[in-house]
Amino acid sequence: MTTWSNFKTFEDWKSALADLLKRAEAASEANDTDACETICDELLAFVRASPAAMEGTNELDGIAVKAQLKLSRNLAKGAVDEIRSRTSEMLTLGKAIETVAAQAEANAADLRLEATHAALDSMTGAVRATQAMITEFRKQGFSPELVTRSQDLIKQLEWVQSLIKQQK
Amino acid sequence: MNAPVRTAALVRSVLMAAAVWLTGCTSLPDVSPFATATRSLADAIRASGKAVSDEAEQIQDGKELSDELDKEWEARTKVMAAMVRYADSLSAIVDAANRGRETGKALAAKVEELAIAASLIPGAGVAGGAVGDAAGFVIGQLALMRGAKSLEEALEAAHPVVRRVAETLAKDLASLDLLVRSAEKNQDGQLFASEAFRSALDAEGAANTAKQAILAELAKAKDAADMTKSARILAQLAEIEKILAATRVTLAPAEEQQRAMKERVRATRALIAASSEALGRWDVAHQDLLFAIQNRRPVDVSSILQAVVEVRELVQRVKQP
Repeated sequence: MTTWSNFKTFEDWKSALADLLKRAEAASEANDTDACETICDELLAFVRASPAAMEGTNELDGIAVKAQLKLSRNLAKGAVDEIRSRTSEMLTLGKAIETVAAQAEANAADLRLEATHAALDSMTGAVRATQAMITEFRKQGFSPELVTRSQDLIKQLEWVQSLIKQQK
Repeated sequence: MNAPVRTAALVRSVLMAAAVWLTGCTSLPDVSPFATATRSLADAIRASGKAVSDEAEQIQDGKELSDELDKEWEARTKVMAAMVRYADSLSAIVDAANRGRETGKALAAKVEELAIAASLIPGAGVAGGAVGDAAGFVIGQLALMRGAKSLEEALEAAHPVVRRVAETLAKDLASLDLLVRSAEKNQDGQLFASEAFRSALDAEGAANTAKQAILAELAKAKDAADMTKSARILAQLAEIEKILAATRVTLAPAEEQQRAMKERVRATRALIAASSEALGRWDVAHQDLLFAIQNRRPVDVSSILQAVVEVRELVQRVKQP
């Protein structure tokens, strides 16, 4: 950091500003963002410290402010350029994750259907087995009451089956 | 043992054996905190870009920069929207698998109820209930297994993408931070570009120096002669106060504008820092989920939830200036 109190003459201030401008140029060329930020602060410190009463310092202040504005704008532009340099990769990554998400959504939909199918298959099996059992009861001459109760069971099973179908 | 009861016992033993085989998959990891964190992170990324773009617009000739940033940041917003869709799809898999398990349980209950209600053959009610339980359990566990497989596939496929997105966004957030710091410096510079501001600042500095000198001289006054001198000094002091008041008229609005700008920049930088922190935890949380599903272990979500709360608060602070 520059010690402003050492500067006595206009030439001292002029030389200090020339040094700052030279450092600003070198830092910009080297893309040294830390140095650029430091020099931005030093340029404004120069403006604050330069004696208003000394002839010519107002012009030096004008030059310092102009350089500070340019340097800080270039820093901001550099940051946008860095972001831009990664955009195409970002778009590719976005497409990749969209593909994974679409597959996962399809799997979730399959899972929902599978659960319903499993329940439906189970109920269909139960209805068929009970129907076969009623046929067998009739063949073997079981009581009409048992056949009626079995038929009631089929109705109940069919009702559950219809409920599951509605969920599908 | 009569035939139906024997059959039921056999079916039950087969189903129980299947159940033992399937017990490695009793539940799926809770992915909802990850989905919540992803949504919150997406909000934070969008809000960070918007806040920095607004600040970039304040740079001298900054409209072009701000528009460029908006255009580039749109890709980040889209990636995070895709990440939200992905995180929701993980939740959908877990929900579907859990619903499958519930269907199994409901089926078991219904079969048992029907078997008891029918009471066709002595002992069949009890056996029916056992078979229903086991069948329901198997249906439920199969749903969980399929869910675990789908979840693992999705997490594995997404893992390298999530890592890369986290790495790239971390760099982007660092660039945003540099941009907002540059915007702050540029706005400081614009203040000093005004000659009226510089003159007022110089005048204030000179007046304050003179005031300090006069006050020091006044403090030394001891006798009547000195007091006469003091009256003259007090008049000078009054003149200096007038100058100071005049400089305040010029400086105060500019300083108020600068104070507001510094406050905005502070809030934006806090959001960027919190987003960066949350991004790291989000990446780790995804890795933990993958590890949990691969090893059938529970996952600790406390860390990511804490990050979510912090980021949400900061997003609100940036949105409400």
